[in-house]
Amino acid sequence: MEEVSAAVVMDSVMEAPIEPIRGQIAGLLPRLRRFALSLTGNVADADDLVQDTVERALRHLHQWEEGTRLDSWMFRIAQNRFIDSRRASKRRSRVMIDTGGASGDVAFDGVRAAESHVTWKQTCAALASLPEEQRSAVALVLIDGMSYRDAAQVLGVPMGTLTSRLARGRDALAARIFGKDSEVRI
Amino acid sequence: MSGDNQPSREILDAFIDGQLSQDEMTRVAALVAKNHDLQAYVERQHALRTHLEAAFSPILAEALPDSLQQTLLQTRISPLWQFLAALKSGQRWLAQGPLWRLAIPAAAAVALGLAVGIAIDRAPVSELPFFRNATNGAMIAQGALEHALNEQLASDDNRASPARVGVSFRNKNGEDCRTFALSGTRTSTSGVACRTGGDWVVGALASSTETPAVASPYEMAGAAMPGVIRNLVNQMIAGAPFDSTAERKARARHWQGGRRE
Repeated sequence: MEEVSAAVVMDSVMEAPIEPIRGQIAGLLPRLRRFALSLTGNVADADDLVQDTVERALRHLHQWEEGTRLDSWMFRIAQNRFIDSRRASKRRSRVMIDTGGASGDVAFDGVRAAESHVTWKQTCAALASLPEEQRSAVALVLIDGMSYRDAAQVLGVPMGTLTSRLARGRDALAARIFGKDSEVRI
Repeated sequence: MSGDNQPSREILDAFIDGQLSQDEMTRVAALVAKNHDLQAYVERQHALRTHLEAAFSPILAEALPDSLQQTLLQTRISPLWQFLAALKSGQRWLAQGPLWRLAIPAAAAVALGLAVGIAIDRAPVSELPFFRNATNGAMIAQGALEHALNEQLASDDNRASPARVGVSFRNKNGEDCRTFALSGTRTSTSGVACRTGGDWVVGALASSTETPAVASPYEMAGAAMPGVIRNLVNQMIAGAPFDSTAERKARARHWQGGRRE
């Protein structure tokens, strides 16, 4: 009897003040997946990373300062989780990226189609060849289109550090994708 | 790298990335238009961005995998965040009248063996110093509440205390538990906490905008305690509530619980 009455009371107060925040996070997921894909180089790992990020963000939502940007905070979590997971399984991660994510990632037709395209493999391999710090800078600014300030905040580095990582990443990527011969000296 | 009139590499990259002010964008665009090398550099960088876009943007249009949607919908939100969010909707809370409201942190609900998992509901500002959030999502008593739970006896004159302890009992897990009441300026809150691993883990809270007259310990044990808390205590309790001797004994043992004698 007691249990029933308690359950009824609790049902009656199960309002959903939480839905708007879940909705806000849902709106960020496509961008987060793209960011994760550019870090990990394959869809399966990207989705694992995003899943981990979402779970962590919800459980630690109190660490997000309301009024600051939710996207920056979540990108930062994703970035940190990625680095943590890389440290934990560096060898495995390396193998996954080096294969260009061409096998085993069949969850998404569009991405699979892109994967079959030479652009995907070439670009992915070029990006994967960058040191992590440059890859993150490229992913945030050149792929996600974040401002320098937001990207620096996500990575927790000064803006000058971000722009120099970005410049080095740009050079290395362009050299790999277009060839060193086409390099433009300015 | 740059002549007198030539933008630095840094400025040029910022131009390509659209990070300059409107005036600067216009100025650099004019310089680029006059210099073939700069044009070639800008074109190459645009081509790079196009490449990256073509490779990585298709995923934006993809449906989210089910597992990700489930994670988004089912992961429990930080109880502390909901607490803080409650501060912002405090006025709405106050406008809802003097109804007792129950909230059970999900971790505590599991500990209580309840088949529910709702997160903590609204709480007034005055209650925040009484609780902190544990990493596992549980709410832990702190400050004056923790002190009261450790030290107060039901027979003490605790009317001046911001946190007053009511009934003490042992739960079915062998833990010592105590009900408590907190008085805020505009709200009052009652709850129950159990001593777990050196902390007082708050199992449930019920808040009201009605501040009851300061109750005697005995009244707190019954009449002034919201029915929802009383119901929970009835579910949790193993045997009878502590009498004053058992209460003193439990305090002397630092509320370590154990099997009931």
